Amino acid sequence: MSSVADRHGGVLRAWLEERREALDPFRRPCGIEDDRRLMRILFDAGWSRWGWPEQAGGLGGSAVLRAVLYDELAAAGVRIPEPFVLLETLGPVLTRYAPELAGRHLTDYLSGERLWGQGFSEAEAGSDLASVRTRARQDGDGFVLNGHKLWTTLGQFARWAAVLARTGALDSGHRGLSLLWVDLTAPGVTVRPIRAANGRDEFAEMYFDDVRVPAGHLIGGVDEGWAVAMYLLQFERGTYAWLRQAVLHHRIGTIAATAPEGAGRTRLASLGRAHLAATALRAKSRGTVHRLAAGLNPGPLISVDKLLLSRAEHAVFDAARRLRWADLALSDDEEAAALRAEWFCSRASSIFGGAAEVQRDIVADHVLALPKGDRRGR
Amino acid sequence: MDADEIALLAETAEHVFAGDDPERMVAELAEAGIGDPVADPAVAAALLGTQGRVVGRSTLLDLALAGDDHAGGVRVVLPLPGTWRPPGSRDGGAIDVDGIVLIPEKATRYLVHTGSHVVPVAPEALHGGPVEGFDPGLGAHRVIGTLPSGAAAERAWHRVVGTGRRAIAHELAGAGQRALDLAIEYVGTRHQFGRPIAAAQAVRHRLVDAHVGLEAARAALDAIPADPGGELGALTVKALAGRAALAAVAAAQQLCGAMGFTAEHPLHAVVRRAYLLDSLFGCAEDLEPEIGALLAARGARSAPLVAL
Repeated sequence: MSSVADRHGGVLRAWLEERREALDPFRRPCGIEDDRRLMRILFDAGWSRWGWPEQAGGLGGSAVLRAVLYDELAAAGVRIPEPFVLLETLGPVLTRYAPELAGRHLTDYLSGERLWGQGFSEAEAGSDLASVRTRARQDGDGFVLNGHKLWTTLGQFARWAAVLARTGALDSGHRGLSLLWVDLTAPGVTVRPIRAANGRDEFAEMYFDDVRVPAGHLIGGVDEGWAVAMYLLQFERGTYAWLRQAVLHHRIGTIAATAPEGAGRTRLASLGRAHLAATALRAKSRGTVHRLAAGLNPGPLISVDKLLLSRAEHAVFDAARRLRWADLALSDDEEAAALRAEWFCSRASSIFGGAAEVQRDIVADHVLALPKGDRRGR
Repeated sequence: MDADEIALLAETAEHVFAGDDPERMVAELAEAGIGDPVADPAVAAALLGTQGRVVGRSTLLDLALAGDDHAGGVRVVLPLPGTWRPPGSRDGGAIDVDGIVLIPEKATRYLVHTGSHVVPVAPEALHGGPVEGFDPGLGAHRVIGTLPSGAAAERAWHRVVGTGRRAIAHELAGAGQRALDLAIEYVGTRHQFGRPIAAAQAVRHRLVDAHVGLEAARAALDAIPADPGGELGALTVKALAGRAALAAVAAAQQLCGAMGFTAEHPLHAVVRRAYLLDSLFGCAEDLEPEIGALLAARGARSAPLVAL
């Protein structure tokens, strides 16, 4: 780690330590309102503003400083507010492709005031993003949006959404897409939470019915949405993976501390595998974080990080299941319920952000450069 | 060393391993002023990674394990495959020895660890001899005997285990990569059902999983600093590399089809070496519960091994 990031981490650690008691409410499972409160605290103290450009209301410095924040929060046992997940995907896109929108909206997000949603997936455009059917018709000085988006994390709490829509012909594939910044309070927008398998509203769906979007709300150019989305995905698969490894390391500590006396070797092996998978992810991810912060594009190599993230999520929560099964199976207390919810979410880690099978296709094609032959093998 | 020097070192290593003098690589290092082959992960990957990739053999491990006790002709007696107990155990006034020596030729002195001490002995003082076993290419000797409790110096065994695990992890990563390379070459050139075998998604995904495992092992080897006292770091890199190498050879054994099952195809030598290496200082499968037990004993106090 660079000495700047090192020093930053040291000061942050001391700050967290000084507020040990005040931060205790954020060591327990939290809801969105707790998340917002913690975001306010981190914003007011400046910690969440480091690593974002000053033009966007940040305090500047390398993006590595954001990685330091996630690492130190997790190490202190403080929950990383869930909205940071989305910040790591949409934040870099706004600051790069729509600096004016970033200047207007980033600080509102950082302080927890107004959250955003990412409107990419549709029923038949999940991992196959180029098949998006939501339409944005150019009309006078703006766009008219029609369509349906699915699986939007935190969508039900969002004030704004970045929506990937088709501005080209129906058969234009990845060439005819644009990314729009949409006001979710505008006429014609309906947002509904979706109940997940774990019993919680983990995501939402958004309906757009003749929604007017001003021209200035374009992120990147018209028909340049694919390039913007690909830029976004390297953060979704890169910095997000770093954020998650910080959480996973903390969970491993908790599992280790609460492992039952006399747990047998097969159960201890699951904890060992959790440690191995999380350490592998962290080792791989740190290089990616530094490359992204230096403005380098990891390209298809990022799919390896994404696959390691899925492996680690599965391994850590499988260890939790094996070693905490007595609670997981029978306890209804808050902590057991939260762990159950997390176990279900870990199963989805190999689906969202591009399913693991698709990541394997990308690595096979672009990293291992395997021949495809005359017929597609898929 | 910069990237060019590392590449040159790997090239030299490949050339040396192609020869038949297992002591030459250590001699070359002495000339280049490199005293420890595992302290710097890039150097270790160039040396031991290459050794694993070409299924070579050398006294590099003896150099790493003997440390200050190293001299020409010195060999460190290793624990029996699958174990990591010291090969020497005190029995009253005597020391019972049961272990293996990887490069017995031209040996002038064996170092036998007892856990707390190391005892130098003449090779003739122990009996046993060549064993082919699972990996005949290894050319190892089993050494057995009882020694009088003689001159012994204090040496902590756990440091030997840690260094050995790290060194062999590099070699495993190399062997696994070789297996993957052989499989990729085979499925790319052979056709079935009118297309390369590599065009089938089931085949592609298995190769990718092997690649991801090897990438993880290499990233960990690169990012976790060599700390002879740090037990968890060495356990971690050895277990990751062992799992990755065995997954890669298993994929290669399946995907190279009948060809990979022939004596003519080079794969079987890689398979033999990978399993043998995985078992030195503990198989990955046995290290996983060790890691779990270590973490459970520490409770929540483990900081991540890798720094940002």
